[in-house]
Amino acid sequence: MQTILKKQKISIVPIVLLLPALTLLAVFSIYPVFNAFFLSFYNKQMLAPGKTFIGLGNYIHLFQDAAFMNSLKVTVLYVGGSVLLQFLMGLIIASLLCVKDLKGRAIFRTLIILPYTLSELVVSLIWLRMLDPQSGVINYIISLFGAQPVNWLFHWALPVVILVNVWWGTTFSLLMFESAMQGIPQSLYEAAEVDGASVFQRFIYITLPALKYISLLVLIMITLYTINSFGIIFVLTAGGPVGATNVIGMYMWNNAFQSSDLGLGATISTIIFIVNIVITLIYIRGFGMSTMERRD
Amino acid sequence: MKRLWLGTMLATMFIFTSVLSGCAGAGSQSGNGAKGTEISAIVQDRWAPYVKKAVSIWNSEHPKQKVNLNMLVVGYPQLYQKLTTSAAGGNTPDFSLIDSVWVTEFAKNGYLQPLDSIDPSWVKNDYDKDFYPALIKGDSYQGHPYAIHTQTDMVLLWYRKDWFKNEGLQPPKTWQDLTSDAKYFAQKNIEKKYGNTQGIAFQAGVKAGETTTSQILPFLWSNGADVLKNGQVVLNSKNTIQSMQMLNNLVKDGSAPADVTTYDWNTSLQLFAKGKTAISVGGSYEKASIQQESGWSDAQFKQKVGFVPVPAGPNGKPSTQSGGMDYVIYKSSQNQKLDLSILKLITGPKLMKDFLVETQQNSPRISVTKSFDPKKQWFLKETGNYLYNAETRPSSPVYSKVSTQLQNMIEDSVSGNTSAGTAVSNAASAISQVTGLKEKSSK
Repeated sequence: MQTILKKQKISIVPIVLLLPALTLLAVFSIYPVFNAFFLSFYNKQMLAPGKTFIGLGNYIHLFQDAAFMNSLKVTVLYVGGSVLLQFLMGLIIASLLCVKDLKGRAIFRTLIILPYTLSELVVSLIWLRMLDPQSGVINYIISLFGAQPVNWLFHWALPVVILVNVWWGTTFSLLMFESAMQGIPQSLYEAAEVDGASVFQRFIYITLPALKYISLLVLIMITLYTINSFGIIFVLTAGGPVGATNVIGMYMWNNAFQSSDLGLGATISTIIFIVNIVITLIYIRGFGMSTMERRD
Repeated sequence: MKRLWLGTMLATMFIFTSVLSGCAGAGSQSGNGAKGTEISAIVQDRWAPYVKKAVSIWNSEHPKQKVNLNMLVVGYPQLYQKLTTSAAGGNTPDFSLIDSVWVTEFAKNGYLQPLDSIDPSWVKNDYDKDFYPALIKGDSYQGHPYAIHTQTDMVLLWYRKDWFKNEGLQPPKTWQDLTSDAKYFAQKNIEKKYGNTQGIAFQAGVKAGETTTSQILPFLWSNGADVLKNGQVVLNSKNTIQSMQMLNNLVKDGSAPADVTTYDWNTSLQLFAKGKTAISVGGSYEKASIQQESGWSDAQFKQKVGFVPVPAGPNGKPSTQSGGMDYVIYKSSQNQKLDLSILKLITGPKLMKDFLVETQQNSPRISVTKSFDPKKQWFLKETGNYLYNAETRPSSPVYSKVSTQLQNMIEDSVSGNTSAGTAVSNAASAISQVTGLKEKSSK
């Protein structure tokens, strides 16, 4: 073994140092994924001792369940709306913050970052109060213009939860884009300016190509996070009204922990895992395989 | 190089050992003293002082058989999770607090010890004689009692007694009264007079979770409908559909807003306390919250607020649902007799009454209800009478799944997402599927 390592000039120290992290990763990330996949072929109730093998029973049940199909539809709308808006808003605000000689940049940046310093739960509770049909500040503001109070979480449930998610999550894409923009050499913009390129042309031909890799990262991260999390929906609507905001994460939580059906919960989480992998691959493919090449 | 190797390995082992020993330390407590028997329990915060009090009484009365209490206190939202994960992990406490609707699930799966196997004479002479029959029925599985109620509550219809009196109206006794009263108070000129925004408020969606199920079930019973009966799913009936249609009509005729399906578990009580509704479907456990929210003293509450059970439908009689929290003893406990001795103290008339007066909850013991002071504890005494005719939620080992289907049925019917008939039929099929019980339709 030592000879092989010597021959290949591989140091054992990094492997040993990585071992604790890899062990934790294996125990807390890789094992649960395989365990969930394995459990998805069983009927396993939380309290009932033992489990029964039912093959694809859970998968068949899910795809015959109208509530699950509805949750897929709602998830597409929620994730699509949230990701698109977070990505665009992050890009636009980052571009504005990078404008040369902008006064009050630090104040703007702090204000925009502020929501992200709050936990998802706190953000949700704040919005719940603001959206209250009886005593919420939003209805108070619209009433100043003569409008009737609106129950936002009833009539506009899905758009509202998307907006709250965007309000909270845009900061992440903004930070990523802003830091990437600051890494673009100023000389490129100066040269383009000398050549007569407009602001728009500089953005299209210099900024956007330079953001290609970070865009891929931002898209993957916000998409996966939005699919997997449901904290905002849990607090604001709990999936209602009548399933209008019942995203797949909420549906999984209800089945696994409200109805104590661990087998079904594991099946849904396996489906979410596969969807995550597929979406990541689509993004990578969409950005061109060169993205995967090593950048030296 | 060798030294570096050795150092790295030792550091890795040290970190791992520290983490593992830290984990072990966090989970266990040094409750096992030099003397006495350690008893472990999982309870909720409001109950914890009374468990401690009971143990302290026991220890002073039995100095040679002392108990060391190892108690984990959790909030209600975490309780089910904590108990199910403890049970699934084979790590149940000696006894715990449990919601009465979970008893069948835990008993069926073999986690609980029947009380009559521990002390049959106490069950015969105290438990069977002093606890309300409806509660004993709900706490039993296959003819054996598994749980002791520590308090109880019931579904009620709160109404503004002062407004009804002003308008010359009587409290609702039938659905017809209820719908006409709700509609009356939803009229624009009446709303202007009292400042309310709706005639009636009730939770009717999945967002309110179990509150929706527990508060709407009496509307089925009050019309002669039920969910499970004699080992069959009997939900799909003309009477259930009528109940759902009645609730939907309250929305259609403007007595209640369409967004009742988005109400949280306590929205109705808040609307009632703020004077925004004339009638609210709620529970006896809400009295303290209504007073707190409205700032009414007990005398003001008595003057302004009235309460009745859910009125009778065309095919039934007035109805209410009783629930509450129970104590159970786990099969894995090595000290079942001792556990029951402690629980007898906690649920005995003395400590129980102190607890109920402090928390404004109803008594599961008939003798304690009778002992309430008619002036000071008038509310507990009056509502206690409803418990003789109370019903309990369906007893099922998969109750949570049954409840989810009922919530969907209520939300779909009230919102008009589907017709009442379709919603009821869908729920009945789903409940039949999850319970494995045969469906009986009587439409």
